[in-house]
Amino acid sequence: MNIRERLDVKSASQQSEKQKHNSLYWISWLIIGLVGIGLLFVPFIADQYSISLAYTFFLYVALAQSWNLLGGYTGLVSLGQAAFFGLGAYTTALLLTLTGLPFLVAILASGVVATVFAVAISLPVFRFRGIYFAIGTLVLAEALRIWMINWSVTGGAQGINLPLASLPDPNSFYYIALALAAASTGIIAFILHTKLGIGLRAIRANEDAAQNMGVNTFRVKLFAFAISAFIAGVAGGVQATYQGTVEPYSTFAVSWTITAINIVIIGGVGTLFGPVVGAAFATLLDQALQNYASIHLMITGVILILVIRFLPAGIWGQAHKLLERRGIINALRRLSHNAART
Amino acid sequence: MLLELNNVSKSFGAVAAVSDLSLTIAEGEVLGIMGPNGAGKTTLLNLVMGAIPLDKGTIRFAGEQINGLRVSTICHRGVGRTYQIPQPFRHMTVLENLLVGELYGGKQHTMKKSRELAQAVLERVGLASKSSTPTESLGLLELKRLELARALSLQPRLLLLDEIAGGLVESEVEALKEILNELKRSGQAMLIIEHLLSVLFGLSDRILVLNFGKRLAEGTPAGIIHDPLVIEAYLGQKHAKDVIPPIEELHESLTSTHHSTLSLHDSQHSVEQSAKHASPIHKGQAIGIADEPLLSLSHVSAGYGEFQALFDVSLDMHPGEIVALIGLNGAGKTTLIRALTRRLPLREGDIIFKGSSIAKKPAHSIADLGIAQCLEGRKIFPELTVLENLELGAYCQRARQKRQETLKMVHDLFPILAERRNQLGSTLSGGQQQMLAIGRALMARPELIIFDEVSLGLAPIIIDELYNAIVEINRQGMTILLVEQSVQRSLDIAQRAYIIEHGRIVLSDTAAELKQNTDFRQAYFGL
Repeated sequence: MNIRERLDVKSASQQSEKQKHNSLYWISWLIIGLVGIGLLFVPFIADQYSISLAYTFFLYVALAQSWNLLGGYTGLVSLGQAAFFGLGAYTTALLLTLTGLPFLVAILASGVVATVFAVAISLPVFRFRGIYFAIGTLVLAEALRIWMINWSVTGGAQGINLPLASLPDPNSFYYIALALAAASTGIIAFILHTKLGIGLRAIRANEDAAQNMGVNTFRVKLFAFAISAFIAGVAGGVQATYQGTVEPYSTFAVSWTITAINIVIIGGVGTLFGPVVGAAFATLLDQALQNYASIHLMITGVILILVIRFLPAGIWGQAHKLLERRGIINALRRLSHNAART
Repeated sequence: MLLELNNVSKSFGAVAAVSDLSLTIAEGEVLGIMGPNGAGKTTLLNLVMGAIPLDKGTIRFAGEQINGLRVSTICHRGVGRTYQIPQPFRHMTVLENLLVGELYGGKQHTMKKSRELAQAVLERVGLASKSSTPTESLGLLELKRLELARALSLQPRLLLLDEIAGGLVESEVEALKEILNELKRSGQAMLIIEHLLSVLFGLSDRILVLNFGKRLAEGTPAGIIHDPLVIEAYLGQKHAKDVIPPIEELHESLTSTHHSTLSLHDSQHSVEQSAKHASPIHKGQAIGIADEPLLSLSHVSAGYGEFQALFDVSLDMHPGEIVALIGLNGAGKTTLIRALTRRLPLREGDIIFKGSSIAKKPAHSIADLGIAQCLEGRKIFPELTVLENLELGAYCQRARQKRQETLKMVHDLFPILAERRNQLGSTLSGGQQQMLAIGRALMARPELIIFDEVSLGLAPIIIDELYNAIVEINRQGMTILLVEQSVQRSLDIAQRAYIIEHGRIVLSDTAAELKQNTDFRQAYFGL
């Protein structure tokens, strides 16, 4: 076989590899689509309590995805997500009390305000790397919380009660949160396949080398930071309306950030579906421990340590690895390939 | 002029890394930079790339001043750089690593176009078959190729290569040289830092010799090797003579029209084939040495997780011998040492040291038994003084009482360590750190010392000094296992050698016989 032929064979095999990949791609989207359609009908059959659990789950997914984009894919460990979340919540609360804007416009405005804040603080915090970035964002979020406690415009420590008339009915919160979770996962899935996604992963792997390869790391990190803040801000807006009230202590609580990080670590850092799996886990754990508030944190801590020790790739990451090692992913690929052909 | 440095200076604290340096590179020209460790070579690259700010002077690229610009902007202007120690983007495939350059480099192609271009670059450097491999599973040669490929994906007007051949064995260097020659023929301007003289002298149009951040000499390769200043500061007398033949050789290869990737494949084949030829030859197990082996590995197998790295390895070392372990990167040399020093459990087989099995002994007891190791990458304690580093070497029971006596012996061997006894380990130059590492190993008063890549990244004159010391250590009665990238050097001082390939010992013979073995020479010297 001469070189020309060898190359032809190689490109042919690459072609079929590509087809396999494509068909798997479509099959997985088909499954996701079916699950999505199924989720649309849940409120018709489930009781009120399950629906509220589902709401929490969706909110967690969005928050975790927003943190994962920064911490998981870009390597920027932010401890300041609560600031974006809280700003979003207050923005929606203010808009709904002071203006007659529709609910949907208000939560999108929440995202915008959080993004503007992110861009404004990017200049100082991006000077820090690693642990210093984490501390910097934490300090900013805490400073914002203290500011809110003392600011009369936003009701100080009392916060704001939203006008009931402007709120959607409880059932529609299910759909709003579902849309939020789906959109945040979708946005990140999309980003990963773009130039931005490649740049983010390069920065996580080695920021200096990324600069060497022409990546304007400041700008790329800023994009990730802004998108992450937008998602967290919208999530805050949704939560404000769901709760019907905002006040600094719980709305800006660092626990929003910690919950998001826990979920991502338990589910799988830097994976698309890790946050979904982790959010499901966290929701069920909340549920199981709701009568033992005093030991809730302790048990979460123990679980976190166990996961880091024994499943460093997270539940989803580990499952993915196992499937790959057993050849199941390849088998699925073959299966879907054959299915696509017939 | 493509690149122009005018009176550039850079100091770190009181140390002048680069002082008042001027240089130029024309379009299509290859400038080689050489000099001892700590001469400011890598600092020079960092200055050009904008990774560190300069104190004085200007740097102009294609007529425009670039000092003060950010790294990514300098990259967009057309400067591509490789790292001395490969810095791949982990958790990304080989192709994705290159996509970064195609998408973000000066040209900023679309995703589809970038994929095509990246694949073409991989073909060029012989990594095409690895495009969807994650970088974690690449060997050193492949990582070096990836470094080069990433820089090429930027389509740079000027390529900065930092020790691109460092850490490779001769035949791997040959493969890399083919690629670099091909690049040079295509008119690529380059600035090369390289300790490997055959690469530097073969490729460079001009050579600049640095010492203490200053220009020591500049000239053509042929002129430089006869420069008495250069011989004294860097080459050493012996190597000045050795370098001349490779130049003629390289001129030949420069004029040949061989296509680089094809010949690269060919040379890979020849390694495998000669390994097959070589395998039946198993002789010279104990030439002229009749006594009990000091160390004996019998049928050792070991590995990591599901990956088996060593298969049925047997090896004997007799008291007073220097034995070399030779193999390509990834052949299993480091794994063998890890197994031997009990940092990796054996799957099968046994290790006998001084008549008793050590296969089940814990790792920390190895030093007490009398085995010391000089690890790859030096691993000295940077925050301790030179003396404290040495004293820690005598931590084990057998060495504590005779500490002062051993210390004197080490100081005799490396007087510089006595001179700098109160300096922090981190303030030593690369060569001195290596001496300290050897000294520390000796402090344990071992009977067997394992030297793993002692010459990595050091100037020829320093390597000579280290090798003289190793011979001296051996003369004082210590048995030595030598793992070394430079096959020529290790065979020069070893009595016997074992060749390891794909985790198996494929050949063992006396050094003298091996030097005559044509299959072996073809595989490891690339001749």
